[in-house]
Amino acid sequence: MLIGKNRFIRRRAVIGLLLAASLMLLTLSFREGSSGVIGVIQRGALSITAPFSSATTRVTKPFVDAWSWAGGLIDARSQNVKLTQELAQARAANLQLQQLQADLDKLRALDNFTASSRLASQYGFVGATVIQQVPNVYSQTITLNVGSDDGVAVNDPVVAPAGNSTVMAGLVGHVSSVTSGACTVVLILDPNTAVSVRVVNSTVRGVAEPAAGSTGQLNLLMVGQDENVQVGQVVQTSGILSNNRGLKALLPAGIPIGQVTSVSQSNIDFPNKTIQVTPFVDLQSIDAVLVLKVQK
Amino acid sequence: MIVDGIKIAVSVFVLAIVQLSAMPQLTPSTATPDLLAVLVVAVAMLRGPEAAALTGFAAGLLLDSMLVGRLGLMSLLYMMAGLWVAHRLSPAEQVVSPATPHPHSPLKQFAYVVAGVAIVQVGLALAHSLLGDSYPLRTAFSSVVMPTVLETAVAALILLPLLRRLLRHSTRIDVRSVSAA
Repeated sequence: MLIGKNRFIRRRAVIGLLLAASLMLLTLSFREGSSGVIGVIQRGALSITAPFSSATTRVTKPFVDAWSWAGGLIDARSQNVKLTQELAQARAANLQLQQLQADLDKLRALDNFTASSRLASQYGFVGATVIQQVPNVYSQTITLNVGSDDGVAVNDPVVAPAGNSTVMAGLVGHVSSVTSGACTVVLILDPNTAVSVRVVNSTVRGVAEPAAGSTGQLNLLMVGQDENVQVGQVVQTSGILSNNRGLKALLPAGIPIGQVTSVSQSNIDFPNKTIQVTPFVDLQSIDAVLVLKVQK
Repeated sequence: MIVDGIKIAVSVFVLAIVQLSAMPQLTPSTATPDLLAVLVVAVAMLRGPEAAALTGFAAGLLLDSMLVGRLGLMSLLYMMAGLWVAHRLSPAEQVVSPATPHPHSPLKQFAYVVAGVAIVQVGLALAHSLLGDSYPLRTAFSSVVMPTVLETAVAALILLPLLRRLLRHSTRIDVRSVSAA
């Protein structure tokens, strides 16, 4: 019993002393900071443990590197997934931007056309968007989101941005029917359409009709073998009546149509040359157009 | 007794070095496992309050010296944790005896290690807050206390059996039963 009591007292004393020592050290630490006795103790402890710490760091370095490498792999995998998602988003955004840029280019071309074209300033115009398109062999029509409420009338010419740098817009067709809010346009590639035209910088005149054998091309008819027509020359509306075929010129003069892409006169017995014209406007993919209000 | 003391002293030194040199590089968060707290609690469970207080004092002193911190603060916290665990697990007066089997289950020991570490970390956060260190208490809990307790719990799964093995040669029996005999 006495042994137990002595031990109990000693234990209490030891714990009390340790607590008191801790509090004393804490107090000294606050009073002296890193100087004095406390600083000496700390510097001593550091100088003793520093070599061991250094050795431990060196020994554990391979494990740390392996750990970092494994962690890096996990990070790389999650980063790969994240970057793949970001790449897909960036590609989608890029496609969208490219589409917007293309739309902007077209609108800019139309804007330049309206700013510089005599026809646009003379007749006035209205911008429109294609809301329906029926491109097939039998019928080449599009529907626009403007109608009589916007001042659109039957036989008004419709132009669209041209892919060619020399002209800003090219003829698409003419309005064939109008409602209050929409109109139908017959394209120049429609089998039932013919346009009286002239070759720019020459006296050559003729009629442009869809080429039966070549999709998307026009044939320039009624140009005699003795006429001088070169590949690359621009063809535009002539604006005059063509008495030979009894066609009435519905469109005003000066609207660019296309460029001469081939001239053939191999058959000298035939009275006319065979001339092919490629339209400036890609008629398979039109979205923004201008309707020139010539019939107003 | 002397061998026991040497074992604990070497453990304090080695764990302090590992805790400060190796662990910061091996742990994913900014917090590091408190290996010394595991040692103090293990000593408290296996050797009683007196040894726990001595171990806690030495461990805290070494840690504060190596970190050039407030000398005595970690000693107080380690001692508090060690004494609390020793008091909870051995309220009766005890002496060291080499033959008695271990009385506590590993799960219970693990729970006390986690509780002991939590006492140290919460006490440290409160002490820093009371001493006016410019570290918000809420941030300290979320970024230091919780990660440290969790990481120490994981580390204790490996360290605690090793320490049990290291200190297993002697366990405690109730001194009153010895006196009565």
